Amino acid sequence: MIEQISIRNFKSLTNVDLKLGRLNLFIGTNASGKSNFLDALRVLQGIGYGFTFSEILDGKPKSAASEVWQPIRGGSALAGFSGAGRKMNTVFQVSGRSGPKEKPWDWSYGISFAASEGHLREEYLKESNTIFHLPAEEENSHRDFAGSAESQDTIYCATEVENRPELEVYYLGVVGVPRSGFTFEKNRPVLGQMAKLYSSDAKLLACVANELVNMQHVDPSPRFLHAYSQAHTIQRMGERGENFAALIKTICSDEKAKSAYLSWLKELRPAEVDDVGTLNGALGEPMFMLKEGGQQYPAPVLSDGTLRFAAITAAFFQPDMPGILTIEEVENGIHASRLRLLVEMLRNRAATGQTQIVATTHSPIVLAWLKKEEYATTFFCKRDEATGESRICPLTEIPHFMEIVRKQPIRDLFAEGWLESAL
Amino acid sequence: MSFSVLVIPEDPTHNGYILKPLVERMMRELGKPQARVKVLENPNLNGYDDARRAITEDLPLTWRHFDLWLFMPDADRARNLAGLEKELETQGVCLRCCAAKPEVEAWLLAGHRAKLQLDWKHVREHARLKEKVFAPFLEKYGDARAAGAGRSALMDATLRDYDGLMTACGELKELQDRLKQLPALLVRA
Repeated sequence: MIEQISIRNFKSLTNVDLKLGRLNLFIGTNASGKSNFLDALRVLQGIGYGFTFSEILDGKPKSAASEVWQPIRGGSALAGFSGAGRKMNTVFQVSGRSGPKEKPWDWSYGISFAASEGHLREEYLKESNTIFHLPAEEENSHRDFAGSAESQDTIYCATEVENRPELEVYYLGVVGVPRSGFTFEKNRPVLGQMAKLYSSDAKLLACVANELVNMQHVDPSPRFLHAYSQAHTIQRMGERGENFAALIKTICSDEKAKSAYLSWLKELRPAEVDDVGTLNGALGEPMFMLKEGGQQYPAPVLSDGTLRFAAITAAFFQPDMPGILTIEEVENGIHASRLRLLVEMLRNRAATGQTQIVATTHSPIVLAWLKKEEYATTFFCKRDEATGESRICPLTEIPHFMEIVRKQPIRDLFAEGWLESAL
Repeated sequence: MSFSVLVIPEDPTHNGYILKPLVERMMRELGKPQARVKVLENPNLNGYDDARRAITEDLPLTWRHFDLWLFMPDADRARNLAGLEKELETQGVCLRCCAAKPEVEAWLLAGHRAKLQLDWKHVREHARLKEKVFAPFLEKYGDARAAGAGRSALMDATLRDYDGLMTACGELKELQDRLKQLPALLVRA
C-alpha cells in the first residue's frame, strides 16, 4: 500500500504531497489535475516495470516480454512542468507498507529525472537503512532529495562515467568501503536494474518494484464488454474490459464469489436480475449474460451502464487483485439513485485491505454518500488559472470546511463551487 | 397504479437490506403483492432526530404521492410516534410508525435465534445490540464481499418463517394488524 506520495513538476502537479488511505477520491472541475494524478501513478508503474523514461512517457510497443504500454498523455514533451522559464526535474517520492499484516515493513522510494531528456538525476530506496542512493550526477548541482535520503548506512552509491550514458554503482557494504562495481543505464530507473542483480537486497528491490507495478486502471469500454472474450478463464481483466466475460466465468466457478458478486447486481437492478453467468460461442469462448425472469439476456442487449457497473464490480472479484485499482469518473453510466450502492461497494472492497482504491468523480451525489471520516482521503483538485499549477488538498484541510459541512450538505458545497472558492 | 409504500429508516445505509424485503413481504400478506416499496435513501437522514425532523418538514412536499409511509426507527430514542402520525395526517400523509425493539437488526436476527446462543428476551432488551450482537453475527454468517455484507440473504432466510418473525417481534405483528385497518388495504378484504 502506498501511504504517502509527493510529486514535483509533473505536468500540472508542481507541488503535491498527499497521505493516501484505502479509499481515495479525487474531485474537481475539468482539467483541474485529477487525471494528471492518475498519470503520475502510471509513471510509477512504468518505473516498477523497469522501462526507460522515454518508454514510460512516450509508450512502448508490444514485445516478447511485455504488453503494449500506452504513452502518458502529452508524452515526454509535456511531462515536466515548465516553471520560471526553465525545465525542472520531475520528482516522485512514495512511501508505503508492504508484507504480511503480522509482519509489515515500511519503505520509501524517490526518483528525480529530466522528463524531456529521459535521464535519471537522482534515486534512492530506503527500508530501515538506505538500500541505495544515487546522488545527483553533477557536482554542486541541485539535490532533489537533500536530507531525505542521507544515511551513513547507504549500501550503494554511484558515480557518473564521463561522456558515457552509464552510471557506475559501487556496493559499499555496511562499513562504507567501495567494492564490486555495477554499470547501470542512465535512461531508466535503477530500481528495476538493481533488482535483477544477484544480491541480498535484490528481493527487497523486486518487492518495491512489484508494489509499483501492481496497479490496475479500470476504464471498461462497451466494445469489449458486449463482446465474446478471447480467453476462457482469466485471473485479471484488461484495462478496457478485455476478457470481461472470461473473468465472469472465473468468478462464477466459485459459488461463494458468484453469490457475493450477484448480490451487487441484484441491488443495481432489484426485482430484475435472477442470475449471472456466461453464454458460450462456437469455440466455447464466453460472453456475459444476465438472467431476468427466467430469460437469458446476453451482453449485446444489455445497457452500457449495467455492463459498466458489472465490469467495475467484477474488478473487485478478480482472483489476482491489484494493490492499487484506479477508476476514472467512477459514476459514469450509473443512475443517480444507484450511487449509494457504488459508494458502498467501493467502501466495502477498500475495507478488505487487499486493494487500495483511487477514483475520480464529478458527482455531488457520490460525495453526499461519503462518511465524515472519509473526507481526509477525499482530495479536491484546483488549477491556478494564472500559473497552470494544480493544487490538491484533502477536504479536511480546506479552511472552515469541516465546520460548514455540518450545516450545509457537501453535495451543495461541491455543486455550487464553494470548494473552489474556499481553497 | 400499484400501491406505493415509502419506508423511512433511521439509518439509510444498511437498514434498507432488512426493511425492503420485510415490507414487501408484509404487503404480500396484506394482499398487495405488487406494492412498490421504496426505502428512502436520503443521505442527510442521520439518526432519529434528523429523520423525525425531515418527516414533518421536508418529506411531505416531495413524497406525498406515496400511498403509505412507514417510519421504522430503533426503539431506544423513539418518542410520541402516535403524535407524529396525527401530525402527518393533517398534511394529507398516511404515516404509520413501528419502532424496532431494540434496533432494526433484531428483525433480521429473529430468524436466526438458534445461532445466537442468547436468550431471545435478552436480545430484545440489549442496550448495544448492533455492536455487540449483530456485528459479530454478521461477521460469522454474512459475507463481507456481498452487498450489505450479506444482510439480504440473511433477511431472506428470516422471511422464510414469516409467522415466526411476527411471533418473535410483536411490534411487527402490531404494525401489520394496524395496516389491515387502513381503507386502502381493506379493499382487498
